[in-house]
Amino acid sequence: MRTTLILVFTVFLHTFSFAQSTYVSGLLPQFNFGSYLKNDWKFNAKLEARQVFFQGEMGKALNASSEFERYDLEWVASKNLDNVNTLGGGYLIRNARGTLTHRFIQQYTHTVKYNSFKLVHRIRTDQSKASGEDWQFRLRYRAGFEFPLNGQVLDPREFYLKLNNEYIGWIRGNTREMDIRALLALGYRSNQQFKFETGIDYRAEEIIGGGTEHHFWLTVGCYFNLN
Amino acid sequence: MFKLQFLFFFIFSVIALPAFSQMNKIERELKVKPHLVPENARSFIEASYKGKVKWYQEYNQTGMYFEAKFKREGENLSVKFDSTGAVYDVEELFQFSSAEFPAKAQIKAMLTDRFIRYRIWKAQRQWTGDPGKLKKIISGDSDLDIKPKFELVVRGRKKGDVAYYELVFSNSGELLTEKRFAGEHLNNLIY
Repeated sequence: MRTTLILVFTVFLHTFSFAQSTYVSGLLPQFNFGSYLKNDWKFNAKLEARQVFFQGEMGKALNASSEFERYDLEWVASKNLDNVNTLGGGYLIRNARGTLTHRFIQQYTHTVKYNSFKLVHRIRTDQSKASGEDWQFRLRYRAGFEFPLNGQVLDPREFYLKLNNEYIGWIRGNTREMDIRALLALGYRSNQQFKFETGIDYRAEEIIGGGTEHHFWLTVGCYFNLN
Repeated sequence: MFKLQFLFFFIFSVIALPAFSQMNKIERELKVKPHLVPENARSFIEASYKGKVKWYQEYNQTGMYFEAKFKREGENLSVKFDSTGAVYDVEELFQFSSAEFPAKAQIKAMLTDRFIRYRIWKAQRQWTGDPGKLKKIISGDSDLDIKPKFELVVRGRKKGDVAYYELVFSNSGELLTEKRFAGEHLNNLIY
């Protein structure tokens, strides 16, 4: 845990040192619906949007620039291989300023339940195609932590902290790049089905070739599980 | 217009999902300061254990309880008290797979019979009875007068359903209670 935090901090320092980097900041709401199906299958649907409020060059005066940038719809079906491992696949469609992107997703997750927190490792591959662009192939790893703020178990009507850290390597045409994401959110579990979260999502995009774009999103997430 | 179609399709895809659930065991546990715990419960622990103790308040279907959790020589123990501070039970975590006890074979047979597939997540010995004898168990004295029950948390698959269960077995391996857990979904960590 401590090593992960040091690593994230070091990488952030590194990415900030690039010249001519830009930033984007705004609101990132997400509505997520899940359901357990028969025979260890699960289904998940996600609606996510991005509303930009500020964007410009790092180090210059804050530049207000309001724009509804995009929204995504994602469906993933996954199967429990055993108590801790799942394998899944899905599809995402994105509408970004009128341009559609289609994405095919494959994922593996491994859940570890510690005495006082939960950790989910997620490995994803995806293949995306937007009209007029080359295919993009990504390999992603994310570690997600959930810490109950009351007691050792997250019970209904209790708050929790969530920490995500993700590394994304990708290829598009001749470009080979890497993105890094980190999220810190405060969450509330209202009952067995519903969780609400809000926090700060930082993303450093294209950190290898220079000209890194820094994203600062205020996230609002509603997670509803039907059963 | 296109946005609306997107939204309707999304909502439909969610509503069309089958959703069946049965939730029996619901607990809520809160950490509490020691001064909020009844005096008799605190003195019960102080008389039998001298180390660091964490106190919790637990709400379940049967009422409110106080629970003291601590480690004694590497073993995780918890002592539950009712709302008046009277001792209710003592529980000790143990490794089911490596522990040897007479009822083990019968418990395994019962689980195999009940579930298509299962895995034991947590196993506890549970003592109830005379407070004086419970104090001896907490302080590490083996007392053969009180035989423990066995409480297991199991992830089990039955036909068309996978869930977590809490099962309590008698000392001889007879199944006493079975409760299906109201589990926590982790969609917020996965998606």
